Amino acid sequence: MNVIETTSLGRRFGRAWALRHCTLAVPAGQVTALVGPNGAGKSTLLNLAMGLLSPTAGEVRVLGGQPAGSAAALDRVAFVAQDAPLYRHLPVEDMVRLARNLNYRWDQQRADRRLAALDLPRKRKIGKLSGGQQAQVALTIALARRPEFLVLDEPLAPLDPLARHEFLAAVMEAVAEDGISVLFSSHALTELERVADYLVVLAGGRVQVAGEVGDLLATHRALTGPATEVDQLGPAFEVVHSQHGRAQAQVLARFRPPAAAPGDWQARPVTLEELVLAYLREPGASALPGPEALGAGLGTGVTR
Amino acid sequence: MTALAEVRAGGWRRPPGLTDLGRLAWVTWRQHRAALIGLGLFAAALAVYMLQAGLRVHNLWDAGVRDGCVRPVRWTNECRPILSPFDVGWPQDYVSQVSLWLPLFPIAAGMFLGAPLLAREYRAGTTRFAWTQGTDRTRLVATKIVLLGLAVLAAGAVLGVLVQWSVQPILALSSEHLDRWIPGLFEYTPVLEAAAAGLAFAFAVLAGVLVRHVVPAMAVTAVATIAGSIVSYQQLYAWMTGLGLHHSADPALGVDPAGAMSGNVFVLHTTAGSWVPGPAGAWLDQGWYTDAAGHRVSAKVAQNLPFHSVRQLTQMHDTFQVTWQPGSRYWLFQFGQGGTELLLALILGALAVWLVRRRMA
Repeated sequence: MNVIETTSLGRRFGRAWALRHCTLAVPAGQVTALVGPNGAGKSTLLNLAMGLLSPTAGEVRVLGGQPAGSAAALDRVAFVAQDAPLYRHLPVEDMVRLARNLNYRWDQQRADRRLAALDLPRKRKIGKLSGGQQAQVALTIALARRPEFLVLDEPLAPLDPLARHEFLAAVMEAVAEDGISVLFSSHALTELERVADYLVVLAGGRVQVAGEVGDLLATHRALTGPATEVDQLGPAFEVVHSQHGRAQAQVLARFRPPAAAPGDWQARPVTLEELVLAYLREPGASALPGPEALGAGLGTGVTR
Repeated sequence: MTALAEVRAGGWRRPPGLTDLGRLAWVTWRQHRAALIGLGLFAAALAVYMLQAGLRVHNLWDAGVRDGCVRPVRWTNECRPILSPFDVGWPQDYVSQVSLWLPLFPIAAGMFLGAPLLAREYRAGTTRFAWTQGTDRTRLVATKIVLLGLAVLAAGAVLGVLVQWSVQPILALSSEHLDRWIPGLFEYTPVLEAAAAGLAFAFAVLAGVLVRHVVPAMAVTAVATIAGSIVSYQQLYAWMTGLGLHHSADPALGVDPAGAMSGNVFVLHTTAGSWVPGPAGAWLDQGWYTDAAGHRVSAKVAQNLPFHSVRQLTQMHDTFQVTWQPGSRYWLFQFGQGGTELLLALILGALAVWLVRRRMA
């Protein structure tokens, strides 16, 4: 099952396309990171997936074919929107009770347990909490809904490092407990590596990279070698991004194992952060699964 | 919980307690209780004011009945202190206070309850929370609008009841051409006060969806509600002067052609009653004199006739002609006007729900 499937999905605001020709299938049972520069269409994609926006073109379905935003979908998907919007004038306990009354599916014990662990004053108004605490309350509500699919839009952006750690720990606990699927958009590249199983990179409203993190890391290498020989790396190594010094070049390339680097080159594994940065610096490059292997990992290679 | 809800709960059933409607009612109350309490206090203040004034005039009326001063009115020395306030005292002032304060309730209901209802959600971005929960947003918004709308209608109806009850003795005893048809009293019945408040509320909700900012939506609501109340009375006035007027030719009618002149007719616009002869309870529209040959007597001539000149006129074979709406049509007009406003409120409310359903967050 795919938790999100889009087919030529597009959304236009006025004359500008925020998202265009987006065809994507995110498999269930994974923690998927959605990354991309500002304005890449991340929030637009998530809002379309939640039925908060209607597509200008194409379609989007969630949880194995449910129309986005349908009652059947909303029962099983929980969403924490950007900046975790909650009712600021409500005390924590009333906010949680309000959410309980808006849902059919609800695990009050989980909500109570998490609120107790967070050690928040229950009578304090949401607006008086720190950004991190507000995010935790929003996450508490989302998790108390016992979703099969949890969608988080930039959940880490307003949080300090400690709060980020705690937030992600709570998400991963739910993943371990229920095996839920998670899709979160983020700028926080260093945290990605710790939690993400699947990576989607959006750039300029299009999907640039989609694949399992393990496969992506196994098929990319950071290479250091003579600047004059960058062109000779292919076809075994397809350059995603290169930086030239006077004599040496740093290259991030995609390759097909078990190809070995040419003799003059030193190869080492890449981090997910390096990989993402390389693709973000080269918006023309892409790594996408081929149509026949949609959602199943590696496809046809780097295209420039 | 219904079987469907059981399926939707997927094994994680929320704790038992309220019904589905009860849960949404709790949500509605919790989110809007400040506005509801504020509006409730305003309505309660108006109600208390009308209640104490009503008790005072009813006490006077009861004293009048006891002392034999009313039915028919008798200006004896004993009765003068009871009756004179109705002509020159505070009850007159009270009626004008009522017509000053009562239109504020629909405006307040629209501005403080209707306009923020959805504008605030859009503004704060909480639509992204509210519309991604398990309760379908169409159902959530429709339920909120209906529940709050019913509260507004109920409060308006109570205020209307209090107005009509409190002014009853004043209308019976005042000689100042006060009657139930006049602007300033006609609108403040249970039917029309409720309808006006419901319409203002529904308009405000729609304005909130379209404008998406709380303060501008409130401002639009205030302006539109005031304009709407003017238009709605004019609409009523057009019906009263245009639809199925009765016509009588009766010498006894022409006692007091005190209405304003318009062309060669008297614009009467008053109720026939103890001070103005005519069909009981009817609302008189226009009047004119005809001579023995059946021709209209020019207004100039008629206006210069001495007061209480029926006998003279009759001797001159002149007849007073009058057009009027029967008193029995009072409630027809009330429900015609109120029904139109409520229908409009329903349409505006449905439009707001439709926009929420269709438009992006």
